[in-house]
Amino acid sequence: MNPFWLFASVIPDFETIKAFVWEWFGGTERQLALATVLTATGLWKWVPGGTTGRVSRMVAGLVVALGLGWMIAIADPLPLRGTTILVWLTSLIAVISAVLMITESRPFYSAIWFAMVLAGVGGLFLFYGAQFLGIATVAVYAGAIVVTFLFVLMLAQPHGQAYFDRLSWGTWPRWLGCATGIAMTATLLWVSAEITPIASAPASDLAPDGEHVAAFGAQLFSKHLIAVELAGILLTAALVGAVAMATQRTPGQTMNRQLQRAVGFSNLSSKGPSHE
Amino acid sequence: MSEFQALQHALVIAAILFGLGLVGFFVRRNMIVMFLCVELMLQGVSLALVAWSRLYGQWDGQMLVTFIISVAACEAAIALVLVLMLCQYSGSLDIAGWQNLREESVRPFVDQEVPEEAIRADQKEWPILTPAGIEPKKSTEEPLHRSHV
Repeated sequence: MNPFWLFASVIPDFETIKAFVWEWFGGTERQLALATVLTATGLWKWVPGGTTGRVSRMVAGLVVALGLGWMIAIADPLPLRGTTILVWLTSLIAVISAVLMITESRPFYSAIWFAMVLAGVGGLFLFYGAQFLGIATVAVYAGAIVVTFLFVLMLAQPHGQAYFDRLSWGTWPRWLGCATGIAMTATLLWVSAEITPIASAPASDLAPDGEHVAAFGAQLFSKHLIAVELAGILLTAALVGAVAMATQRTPGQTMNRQLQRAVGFSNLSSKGPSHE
Repeated sequence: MSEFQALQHALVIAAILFGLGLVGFFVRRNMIVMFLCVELMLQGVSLALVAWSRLYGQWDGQMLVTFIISVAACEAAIALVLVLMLCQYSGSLDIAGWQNLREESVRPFVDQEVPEEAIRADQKEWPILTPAGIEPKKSTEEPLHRSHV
């Protein structure tokens, strides 16, 4: 017999470990609350302004991974075998990129990680039978919107990193921010775990004869025709508005100075290093 | 994978993406990164819609995501112009620069400490190259000389 299987048979399988943890920590609510506190505290240390040491950042990352993994283990029934391994891999790309995006202090790298999130979500769209949307997400979002973000970042902040990218708000506001966001996640997980499927859900095929995009277009341009027209009007209005605002000429620099004096930017000029 | 397990998996991932976007929105101070975090929340919502669409075999969820993408494009165009103008007025992408718009009774936010290394990295001295060729004439009528582009 292969010694690997002898070794593997000693390790308790995932269900046994899960049942043990379940016994130990009581109900779902308590576990979710604990995982929330764990994840929020890890993020609190990890986000910009938390800690700069390499080891402490690593520890914070481990804590976040533990907390998020715990949450997923509580709420997610999808088994990790067969074809679902690919689904898991794509989901992990999305989640890990999202965590790295909000913890990265360099805004450029944040945008690049967001493009990775879009790649992950686009892959999940493919798995969930939305081929057109998967491609559209990658092409429109990652290809156009994120690139626009990068351009604006280059226009507005050409000197690279700024001090406010390495700082966040104060200590407690930062923890509260992390805790609020993760508590939102925990609440959504708790609610989604209680969903029971409606028995008579009609499982109609979204890709008849493999012609997904044809069916998609037929649906889009028949049932949702007015919404398509409205979306076109909205896009035109947004384009015109963006151009009108961007080309607005203020009379010289004086207008800006007056506005700066009126609103008062004492905080910026006193605290931040000047770039002029 | 069964249909229902697939739905719950997508809902879990969607909830995590949504929550992380919320955390980023609360925690970050760069206006553009805050806006990216809102887009991350939109991705979470889109994923949930697509998963429900698959469970019921209906197109409506996917249609909604199509319109989410188009509205997000409009939103990005408008918001980036606004961010750029805000940045021109305050000279920085820092959202704390606009805290003078707060209520009278709210205490101002003051940065506790700016780490030394952050300031040092920002005020980095770039090397000055030896001049070569003919020096171009500087325009005296151009008052707005930008030290960097």
